[in-house]
Amino acid sequence: MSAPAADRAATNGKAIERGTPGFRNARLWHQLRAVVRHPSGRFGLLLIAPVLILAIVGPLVIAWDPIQINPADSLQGPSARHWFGTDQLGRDLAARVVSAIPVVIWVPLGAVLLAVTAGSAIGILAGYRRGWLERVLMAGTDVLLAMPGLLTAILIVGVFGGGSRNMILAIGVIYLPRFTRIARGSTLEVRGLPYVDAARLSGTKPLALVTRHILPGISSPLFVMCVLSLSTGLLVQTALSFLGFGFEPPTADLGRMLANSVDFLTLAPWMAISPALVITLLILAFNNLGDAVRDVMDPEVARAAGAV
Amino acid sequence: MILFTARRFAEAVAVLFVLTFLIYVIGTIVPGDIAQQMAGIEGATPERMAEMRARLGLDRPLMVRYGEWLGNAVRGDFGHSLFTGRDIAADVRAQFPVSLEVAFASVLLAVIIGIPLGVYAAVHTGSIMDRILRGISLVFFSVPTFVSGVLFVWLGSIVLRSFYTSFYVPFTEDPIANLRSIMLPCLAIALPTSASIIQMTRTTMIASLQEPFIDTARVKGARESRVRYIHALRASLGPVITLIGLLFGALVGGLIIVEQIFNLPGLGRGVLLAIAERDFPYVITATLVIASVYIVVNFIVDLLYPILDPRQREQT
Repeated sequence: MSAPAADRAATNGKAIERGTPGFRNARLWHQLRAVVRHPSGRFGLLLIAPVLILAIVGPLVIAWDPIQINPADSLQGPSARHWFGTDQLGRDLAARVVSAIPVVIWVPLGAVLLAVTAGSAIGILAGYRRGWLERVLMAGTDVLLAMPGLLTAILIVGVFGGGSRNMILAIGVIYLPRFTRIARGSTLEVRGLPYVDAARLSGTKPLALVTRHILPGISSPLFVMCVLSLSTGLLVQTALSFLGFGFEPPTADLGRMLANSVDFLTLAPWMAISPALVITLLILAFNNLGDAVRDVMDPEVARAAGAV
Repeated sequence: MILFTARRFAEAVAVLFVLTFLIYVIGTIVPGDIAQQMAGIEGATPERMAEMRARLGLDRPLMVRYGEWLGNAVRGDFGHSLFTGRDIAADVRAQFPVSLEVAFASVLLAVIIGIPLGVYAAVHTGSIMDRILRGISLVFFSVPTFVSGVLFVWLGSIVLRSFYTSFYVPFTEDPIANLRSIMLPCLAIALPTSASIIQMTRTTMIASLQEPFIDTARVKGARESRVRYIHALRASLGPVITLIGLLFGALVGGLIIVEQIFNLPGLGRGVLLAIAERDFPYVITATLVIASVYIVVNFIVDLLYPILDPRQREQT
């Protein structure tokens, strides 16, 4: 496992030192195409497409207001008038689902960005500086890992309140340790390589050393972990919404819509179907995309770090 | 081995100790002034507030209060609920077995479904059944517990009406009714878990079937069934056990969700209720109990690994 990592890091280091961004772009383009050609990648994109189309085209073609109560139309099944049916207050479910799709994509994305930024900064610091600082940082990581993720997230949004900012914070915090571990492990691997020694001996400042020489060497395992975390991030976010910690009503929120449907299951099962379907499709899509990206970019490291 | 165990144990205790402090601080400082909430916004004269703080002990420094709380907690006294006024330790003792039973039954169900199917898929790699299993487990893996939970509530209220009991019955009271009341919640948790177990068993089983010791067993004249289901399976279980340990975090999440959907009187629903009521002494206690179990499970998994897989023994 160490040999391929060394090769990869060396390739990356050379590409940057030569200053040929064209070479890097070509490699990125090649990897993107490989993800699209990968069976799982293609399947994932195929699943994500209808949801994205619904989110983009939906607001243009659905005339209903997602929060407008309309008692005369309550609990109607799917029809030409209401595509996905209506809920107990007569709100159009199609309009509600469509308006709720953007947040289930933005919140996990924001959380993963937060986790990868903070997590890799901490991990690189720990791996690069070593000593007591490393021990303190990694002990903190262990403490975070000793809590079940969803429980930590519930505590954070339960204490600070829901909404997208706090959900991003909560999910970001529970995903921080995995990035810290990968970043530290990869930094330990990379920092001993000859090209990093060469850069340090030629007088490169620590910050430049990290950003120009270490970060590129550890970027692919981090990126793989990001994609793998998207699906579970979405899972945690919709679970928080389901438990009532998401957005305040009447804002449409997929998890809360599903939770509300439980009281009307025998009367109006369609209330559950559209939110459940969108959530499951997105998770399935992200899982498949994650598998494809892992296969293409980095088969070993992400699996070793526990992203099963 | 003893040294390894002792070190892991010390680590686990240290982590738990740090957690008690963190959770205590979060549950005490962040929620704001509990006295203010209890006295009510309107009837809060300064005198009444001061009296309330003194009664709740909020006028003393944080570290003193934490020390006192920890001292009591070690002796099993977690104080009284701000909301119901009941003894928290007694409430948690009543709720804990419910969660434990559902968790245990779910894992058992997931293992019973997952390992045989995973072994079958590994032995018949590339067969139609293998591909079907792969597809099914991929989908099950992606269905969130709250989606499968809602689906099972619907099934329970329509199809399995005569079979499913929608309120919890303790096992000691009526074992059959108990199984009927936890069957669907457990299935909701077990489905995604078994999907992961199928995949992991398949992968490790394929790998161990190619190892030299399998050839040795064959050459020594062991029957093919013995080679597969004793020699290879045993060597494959280590990673599967680790996976179950890793999945335990997700299992706790699943428990919280399932207890909420199916109205099971467990710790998970207790935590949700307490957060809604801002009953933080209860939240602190229940969170610590859940975290301790989580830490203990991870500790046991670390110990089981070398016992199950003989090849790991020299390495630790």
